[in-house]
Amino acid sequence: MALPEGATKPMEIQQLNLNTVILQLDDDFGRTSASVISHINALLLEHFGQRIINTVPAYRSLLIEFSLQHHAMAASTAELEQQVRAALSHFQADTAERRIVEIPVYYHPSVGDDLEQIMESKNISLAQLIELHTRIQYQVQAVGFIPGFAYLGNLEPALQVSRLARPRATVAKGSIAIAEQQTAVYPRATPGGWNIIGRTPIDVFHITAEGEIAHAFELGDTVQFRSISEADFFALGGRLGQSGQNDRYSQRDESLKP
Amino acid sequence: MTSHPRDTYTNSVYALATINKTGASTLVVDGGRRRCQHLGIAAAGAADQYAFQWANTLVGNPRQAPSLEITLGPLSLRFNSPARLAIAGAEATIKLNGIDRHCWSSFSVNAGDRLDIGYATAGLRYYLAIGGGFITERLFDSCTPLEADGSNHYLQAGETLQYRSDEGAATYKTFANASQSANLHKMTPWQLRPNYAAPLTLTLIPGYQFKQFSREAIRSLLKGEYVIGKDSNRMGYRLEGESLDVSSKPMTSEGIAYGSVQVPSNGQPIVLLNDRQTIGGYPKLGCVSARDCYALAQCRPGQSVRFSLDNPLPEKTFQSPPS
Repeated sequence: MALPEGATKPMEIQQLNLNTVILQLDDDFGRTSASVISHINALLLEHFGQRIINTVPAYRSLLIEFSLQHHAMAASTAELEQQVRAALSHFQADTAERRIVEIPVYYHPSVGDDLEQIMESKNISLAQLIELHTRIQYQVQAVGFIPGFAYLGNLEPALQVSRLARPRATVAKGSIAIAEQQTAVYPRATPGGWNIIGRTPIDVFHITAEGEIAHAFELGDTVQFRSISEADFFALGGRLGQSGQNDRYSQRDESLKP
Repeated sequence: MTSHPRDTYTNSVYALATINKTGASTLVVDGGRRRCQHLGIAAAGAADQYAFQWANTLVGNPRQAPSLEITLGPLSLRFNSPARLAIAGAEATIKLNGIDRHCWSSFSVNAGDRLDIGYATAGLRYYLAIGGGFITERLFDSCTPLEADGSNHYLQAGETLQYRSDEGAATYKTFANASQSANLHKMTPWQLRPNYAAPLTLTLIPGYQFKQFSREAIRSLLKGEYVIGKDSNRMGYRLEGESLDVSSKPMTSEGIAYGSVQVPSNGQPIVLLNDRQTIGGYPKLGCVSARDCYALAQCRPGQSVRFSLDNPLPEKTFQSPPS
């Protein structure tokens, strides 16, 4: 697949400030958007090298911040458009490389505060809920909110619920959450408004003392949830209560931040 | 005096500055992280690049050399080897072994010297640069350390900072001739020092979502003053004033540029700065120009700002210190 049928103008590039632009794909790309954006992102990083400081791929857009040291915005924008068109013409949905990330989840009311309420409102059993959540593979559509938080889609319509009317002050680290068409893993304890249905004992995001980043989700990755028993949850380091997981890494008091 | 950590191969010596006392938000900063935002990690970097780059310029460093950003203060350091220092940014009392030193200028320290900087009295952040820059691990091409969860590591009392001892700084101090002295004690000309108490007008570069706001909303934005809310920080400055009418059209979340002005449903604009979240779905008016973002980062809660509209891009100049 190169361009969707009838897509005459596949994207728009808008300048946001002195050295930042955003590229937006046409709606016609539908569910392949994240893969296309991920593909364009990789090619642009390679082509522009040090001229690009940062990129933020999300859903169907790509924010690109250029280096001020190499500043020649008008030239970059023209070059950018040319590169994106080239990237689009090469894109093959089937051959796009995908990393598969498996997340073990303990689905239980003791770690899923909203589980019983959802089962009741949807009139389904716990086994049915687990089946609905684990039977499909999700795609990382965006990463943000806090480091390592991935927006995964799309949920089965039978499992879709709206966000909580009142967000919680604290959602435990490792919580598995759902809201509207999406599901996610909370990489650390934080306030949050999504519905909590379980918890993973594994760390989905941490930076080691050596500066390595473990388990970070990236746009276009495929995510598979797998149901585990209580015994496995504890064996893998899971914890009940607000602590979420064994705290192997020191947490600092975030309230002290400016 | 504490012992020096030694690199056994080169026998080079890293000198140490020990933090005796610090406020809650002292950071090692530079121009910011690269290639990190796709993971949801903020670019960080010095919030006021103008003062930060001046501090480095005053000690003869490259402009983006690792320095300290001290928000509000205080800060107390002890140095175990000679060094050249410069402080730029917010006004505060600066004492070297109890004797006054001045902001926007460089000076030398000797082994055993103690530097005490008080609370900022005008402006909010001051920068401490050291000759050669602080020596740190680098992550995402930046000196700002990260916590395990991907947030910035703020320095605490008891931590030490490494730098290269500058024996010359001590010698010149004792046997200064005219040219060496001039080289060692540089100052930012007073005309180039910002007045942090002056009223600030933020230049808005309208973005592609600007047209989604009604004429009334834009009129409201440009008419009144906005007071900086108390929850303002390196992530963003929350402004309180005329409420802006926001279209209720739901938007797909997308990357957020430095200086973006987003308007959540309460109609109160937020200017997003260095530690902003990487993506968001609120409507955005556009971006505040970089130099105005630097000035904004020196404003305190309770100060007020106004908006003015810039002509369409490109922005005319990018303010940075002379080389």
